[in-house]
Amino acid sequence: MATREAGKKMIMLKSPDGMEFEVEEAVAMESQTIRKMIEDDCADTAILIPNINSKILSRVIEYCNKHVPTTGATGAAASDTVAPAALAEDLKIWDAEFIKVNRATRFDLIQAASYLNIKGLLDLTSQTTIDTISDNSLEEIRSFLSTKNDYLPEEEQTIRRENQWAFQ
Amino acid sequence: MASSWSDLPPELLDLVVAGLPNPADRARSRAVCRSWHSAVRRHGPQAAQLPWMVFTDGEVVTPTNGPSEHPTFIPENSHLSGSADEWLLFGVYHRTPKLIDNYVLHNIFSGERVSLTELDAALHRAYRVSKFRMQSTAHDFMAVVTTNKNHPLIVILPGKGVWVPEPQAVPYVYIIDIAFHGEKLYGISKAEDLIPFDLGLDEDGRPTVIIARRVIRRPRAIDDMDTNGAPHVCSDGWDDDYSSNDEDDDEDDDDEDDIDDEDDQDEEVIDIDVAADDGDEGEEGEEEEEEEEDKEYTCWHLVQSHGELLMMKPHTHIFSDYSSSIRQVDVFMADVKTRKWVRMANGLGGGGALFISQHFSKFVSARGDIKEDAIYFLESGEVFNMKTQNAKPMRFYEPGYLGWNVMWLFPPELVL
Repeated sequence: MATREAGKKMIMLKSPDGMEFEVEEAVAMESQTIRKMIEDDCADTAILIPNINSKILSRVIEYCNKHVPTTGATGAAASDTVAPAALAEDLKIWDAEFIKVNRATRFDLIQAASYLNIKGLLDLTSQTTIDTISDNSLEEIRSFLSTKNDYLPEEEQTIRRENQWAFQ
Repeated sequence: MASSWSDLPPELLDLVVAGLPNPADRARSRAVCRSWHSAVRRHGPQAAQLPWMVFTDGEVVTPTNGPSEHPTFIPENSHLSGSADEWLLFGVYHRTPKLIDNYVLHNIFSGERVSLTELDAALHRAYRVSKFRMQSTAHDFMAVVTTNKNHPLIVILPGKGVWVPEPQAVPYVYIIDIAFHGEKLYGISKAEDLIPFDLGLDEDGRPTVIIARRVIRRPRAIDDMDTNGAPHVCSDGWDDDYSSNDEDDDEDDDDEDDIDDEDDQDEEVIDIDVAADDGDEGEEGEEEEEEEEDKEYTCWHLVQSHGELLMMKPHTHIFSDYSSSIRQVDVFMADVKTRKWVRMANGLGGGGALFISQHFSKFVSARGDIKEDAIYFLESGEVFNMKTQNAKPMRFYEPGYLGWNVMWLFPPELVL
């Protein structure tokens, strides 16, 4: 680990609950929001990430670590021996495992991905949500998403009736 | 940060809703809670109503979710024979798929099912429906073009009765495609005549069909007609006999025409004979031209489009591996005043696109993924741009799903 970090610029990310995470700048810059802060020189020694607790932030960093490009300017990479297609396939499998989390965590991850503007993570979390909704009944969707139904009973009746064919 | 899916920032809800192009999923999401309803409403105007694909064995492919079997709605021992918007026409057989015993119309979205016993009685079991069109609902007029030259056109009014022409009667034997337009049914022949039919009821409430004044009779030598479209099928004799109808709409005259034409029939209906022998997928509206190993053929389609009637002539190139590509599409609009086909030189008009297949044709307003002036061809899996005049692969479905044993089905318009 020490050799890998040698010569690379490190960034400190702080969660609101006081945890600090030291990450490579390249990894942190997977987030367009953090990239902009760094480029605008707003990042001195540590960047406070509001709203994202340490548990979620550590998962986000885990995702970025995995997805940071291993080729290019930084050079040193394991990809010399692995074909790009195999690498992409490996990432897909890793993503599928990564997103096997409970509803609450997925819900926090999609918001973190949105706030930090990490496209890959946002695509992954939103697609998982889309898959959850697709081809399920209204009751199942409500239960999967733990949403509260804020319609009055008669309103819901009308809403259903308007597209009756989708509720057969 | 939001603590519930109902409180997510709008842009995140929009992202999820936009990923649900299956309208049924959006209809249900809209009922989840108020904030989801708002997201569906925001997304709605841009969302394309992409058609589903249904294979003749009943397998359904949606544009986003790929194949999903819905065996519950497919009648047992049935074969998909046609589709119209939300409706599927199944032919149910008792012993062999070659002999259809009952036709059943089924709306997989509403669950409504209508038995077309009138069609069972009129169409001999060994023949097939090649075109199926509905005027509006399952209780209104429907028309089919069949592979049976004795009853090439059948008009059905469910629960009331059926109308069939006299066996081998002109001009019905020449009709290769039909479309409802306004109060009338229209047919086109391969000679590119446009024949309107007035639909009515007789004293017993059964449907009747009367040939109205023919809107367009295609001049036999015209500059813009290429060799593929040359009207070699219909003899001049037919036109001479038939022209009496231009002055007189009386149905009785048709019968006389039929008798007069009897001698010409055998020669003239050759194409229809071939289609009937083919059984299944015979496409009457095509002509083939040998071109070394590859082949090229032309089809005729009659389409109701934004209040106009269009005649479409796609010219398709068939490669030696049986894949196909649209080479050129000629589109003409029926001009009722001048009684001529007017070539559409500059797109389709009406701000929309056409979905065309062997069995199906529909005009759809452009929005979302459905682009203006595009013509989507199911069999070749291509979209042809009328402005640029070139064809590209369609992106809506996985390529492997397109082909000949498929029909389009349009989900109902989503109330937002």
